Amino acid sequence: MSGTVECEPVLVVYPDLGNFFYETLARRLACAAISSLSDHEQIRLEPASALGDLDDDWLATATALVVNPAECALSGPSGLKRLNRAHRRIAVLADHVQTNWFAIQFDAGLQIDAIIDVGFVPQEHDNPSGVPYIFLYNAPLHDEADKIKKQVPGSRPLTWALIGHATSERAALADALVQDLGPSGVVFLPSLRPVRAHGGLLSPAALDRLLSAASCYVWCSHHRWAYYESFRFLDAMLAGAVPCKIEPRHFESLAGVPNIYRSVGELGERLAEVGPESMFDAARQHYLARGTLEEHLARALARV
Amino acid sequence: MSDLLTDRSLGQVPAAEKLDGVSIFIPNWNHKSFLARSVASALASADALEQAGHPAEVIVVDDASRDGSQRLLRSIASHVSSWKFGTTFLPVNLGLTGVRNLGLRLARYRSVLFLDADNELIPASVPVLYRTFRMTEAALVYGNLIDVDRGKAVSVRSNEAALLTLTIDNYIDALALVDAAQALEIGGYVSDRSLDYWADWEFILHLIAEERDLVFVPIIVGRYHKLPLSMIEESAGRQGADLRRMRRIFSQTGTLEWDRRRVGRIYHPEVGYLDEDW
Repeated sequence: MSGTVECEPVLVVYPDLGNFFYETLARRLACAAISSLSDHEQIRLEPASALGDLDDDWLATATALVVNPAECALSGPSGLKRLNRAHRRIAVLADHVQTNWFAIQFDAGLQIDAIIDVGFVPQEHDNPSGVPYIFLYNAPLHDEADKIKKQVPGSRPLTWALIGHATSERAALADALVQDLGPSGVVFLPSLRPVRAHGGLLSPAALDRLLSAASCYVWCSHHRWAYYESFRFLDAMLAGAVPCKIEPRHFESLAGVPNIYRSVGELGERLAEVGPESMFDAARQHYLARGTLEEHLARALARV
Repeated sequence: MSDLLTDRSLGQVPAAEKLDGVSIFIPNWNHKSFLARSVASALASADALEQAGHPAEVIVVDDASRDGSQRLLRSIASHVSSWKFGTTFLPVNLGLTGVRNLGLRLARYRSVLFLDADNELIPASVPVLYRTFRMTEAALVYGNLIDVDRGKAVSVRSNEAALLTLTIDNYIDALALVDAAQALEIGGYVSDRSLDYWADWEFILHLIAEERDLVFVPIIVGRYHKLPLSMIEESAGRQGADLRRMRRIFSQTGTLEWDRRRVGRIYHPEVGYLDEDW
């Protein structure tokens, strides 16, 4: 870690009625902020439904990091409206900037002063919003990096896992995986709905257990833009599975991140050639060489 | 119809006498064009089960087809051991639900894997399905099917745990492993032929209503070949009155209709239950 930064109060807000993984992101950011900033007491993590309890004077001095404002708005418009009293409001986003999921963030009723884009590939030049853009590399937290260092990839009962909501592209990917890598894989492609408790979907713990039994975590984009899903990469690394993206269209623009393949056939060839252990090690080396989330967040906040 | 369902000469095995193992059951009615594919996948699945140490058989019941299916089935039967592959030719059409109930009775083994004659199994997945059946003792175990339209994979079905939204629409296909003993105990498939289009859906809702366990295994179990004239495609235009009828049986008050509450479970033999809430 590169030392602490003097900073005003930070409020990290997450949607408690939306997808659970935004809460996970908010918790990771709060954790990173606590390590990065000099005064830990000044950092708060709140669900969007609890913003009414905040002290006005404190809020007026705070920088609010609002993870996915559109989903925060599901808790009602009053919470986000209240955030407009904060000193600054930074929308924390994790989508391709050309998608609708990115566009709707600016219609949620939050006055956004800047956006922090969490991912692997900066999108500053494609950002259509006109709002100042700050890229935050989705590095592992210090503790996550320790866990990744200790992972021992090897022979696992499941060759591959494919998880996401059902789309025609993913159905085709599942079929290709069965044909090219064999049926010893896991496929969980439920209908699209928010990922949260009591909905018949996989909890974070269940996802981790599943990926911990799989050699490769395979996915493809659910949109046509060039993008790397950094959270899937992190989930795979924390479970000791090789993160494998199948990307036939934008292979060149994402080159640099290990284990991106144009086709399942190409992935199969690589697996046969070097094995999952070597592929995991390449991903681990790439990832851990880029520092921690604590370091990257400190730099990002210094730019706000 | 009732005579056929109780005819001992057809080799029916009472529930209490069924052995551990899998009977892969294919009901056929005028699907000669697809039988070679479905039967081949069933025989390969039986081999995969046997290699994993589980006894298995394949049964095809022809429901008085008019397309020459019988001739093809006799030809296949002449090349396969009669212990492994059995055929029954009904003289009069019994209808899908009647044939499924006959399958439950004819099965030598307690687990009956229903495979429609136009679909196919992925053989290596079937032992995983059966291991799940043994470990969970569920009444019905199923996994993902890939929908194939003109040779191209286009979607998935049977793709998640049973939720109460099943009272609105069915996403669980008939291709599933059914505990014959539990199924017969609750009366099998509905005998009302006017519900033939919805019999699989009705059966699942009936299992849920009877508080039987339904388990989803997150693996690819087979391929569902979409055909323009299939029963399920025809049923798309019949939803109004039939749907109201189904809702009268299973969600009369309407209070549960939009509830995404899970009533089935998710399990993989290599990982265990995967549906703990958080």
